[in-house]
Amino acid sequence: MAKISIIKDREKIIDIVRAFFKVRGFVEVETPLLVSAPDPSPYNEVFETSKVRGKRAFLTPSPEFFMKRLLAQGANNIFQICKAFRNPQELNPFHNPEFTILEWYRVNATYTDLMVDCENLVSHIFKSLSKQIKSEKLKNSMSYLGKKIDITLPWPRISVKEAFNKYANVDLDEFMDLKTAKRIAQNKSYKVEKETTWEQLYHQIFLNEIEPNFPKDKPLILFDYPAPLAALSQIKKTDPRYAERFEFYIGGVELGNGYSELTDSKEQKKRLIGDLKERKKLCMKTFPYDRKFVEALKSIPKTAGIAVGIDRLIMLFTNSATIQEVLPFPANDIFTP
Amino acid sequence: MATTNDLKKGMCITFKDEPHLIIEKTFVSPGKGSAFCRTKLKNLRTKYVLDFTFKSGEKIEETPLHTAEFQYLYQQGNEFVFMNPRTYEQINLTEEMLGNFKHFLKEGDSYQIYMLEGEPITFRAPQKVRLKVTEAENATKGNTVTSTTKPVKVETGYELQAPLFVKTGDVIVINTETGEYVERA
Repeated sequence: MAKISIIKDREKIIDIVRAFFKVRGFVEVETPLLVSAPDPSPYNEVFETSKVRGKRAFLTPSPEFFMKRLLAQGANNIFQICKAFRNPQELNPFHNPEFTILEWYRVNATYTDLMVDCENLVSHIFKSLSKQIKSEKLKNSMSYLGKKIDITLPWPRISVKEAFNKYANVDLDEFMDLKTAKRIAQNKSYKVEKETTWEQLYHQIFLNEIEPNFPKDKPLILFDYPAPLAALSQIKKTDPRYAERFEFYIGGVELGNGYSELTDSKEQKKRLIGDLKERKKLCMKTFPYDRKFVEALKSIPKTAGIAVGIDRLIMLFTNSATIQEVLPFPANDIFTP
Repeated sequence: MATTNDLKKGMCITFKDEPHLIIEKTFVSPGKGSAFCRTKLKNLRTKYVLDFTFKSGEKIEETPLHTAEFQYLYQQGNEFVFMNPRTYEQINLTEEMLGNFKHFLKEGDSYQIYMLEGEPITFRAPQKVRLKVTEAENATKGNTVTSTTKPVKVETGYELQAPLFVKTGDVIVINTETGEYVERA
């Protein structure tokens, strides 16, 4: 449970974030938390509530679909700080089922513009919080859990392909083929079975050999994800095996996930149906896909958007090791055994 | 055969042909329907600790451990000597194996120890212990104003904070994980 001092820091950080976007001409919007067709991406279960006007209703796992509908209606650059709900298999230091998300969208922009936004945002929060610190030396060095992190701009960037090569000695171009991926994983003595999927092999190597070895003394931008992990991002025109998606890490903690947004409504419909099929296979809740969202993509401008975990950002700036320490009432205090 | 769904802290598995103790376990779901189980494993032969992330549902081989009852004899340097009361066999446990429980060992008392092929693996620490208070100051009128607890010493020599009403000769219950007072027995 968060101490009062952290609750005050929380307010301060959220005020700084809000001002950062408003000064840059972004309009703050509010979209529904109670929805009829949530994002079906199958990695977390959604919360279903009682029915509204006879229709099934859910707590939204992300404000993305409605924000994109606003973009299609002609909203320019927009941002939102709101609650999102995802039911994790268990509570851990980085996940609470109800959390605060920051999303922003830039029109006529790509994911590289968002990378610069992320750098500027973190650097701006740091400077605003440490105005009282005069020493030049401290200027770009923050401390998190006893470790120094140099947040000087620009941050190091590495593509997923480079990271696989550097940390796991795997050629990701070759690894893209399931048979080859199985052979490579087997040689690394991971368990490979008939039903093992490509995503499982990719993530097992990523989680065991790559992510833990990322340098923690500087932030890191990891970009160009393999196309099967495109989520809602656009496939690269120059190389269709990869997608314009990135995540950024500070002190080893993943803070945000951004895309050059997919604006092709046909492709979007295909991916939503694919996700729903995957959910059915995994015995998760299924529901109709959001037709109004798909329809809206027909008139959406070229855009780039990103979601950042506000609670994790607050962890970083309040030197807190767990998400529970930055929430006034974390779920493990509310839902006691 | 067990799967990652059965993994528990304190369980012993065969990993890369070696017995490993699970020290930590968390779920991770990085995306696209695949869930993973992140663990910290300790090789019981080399004592080397490593991180490994299993695919959720992956088959794992559990190494059967059995518990044996041992009597605590005495401390010898950084080690604690126990004896099997049936065979008189003696084993030494390290401070690390006992963790916080080293403060609560009572000479002559029996404890459960996990064994693998005749070797002690971990100590099965009870969550609570009852110990007799050997030293407790009388609560004077002076300290009641500033504090509601006072230091007391129990029969194992361990010192902790207890409510003012606790007196020498009382038996108190202590949480062995936190080392804190729970109640008067």
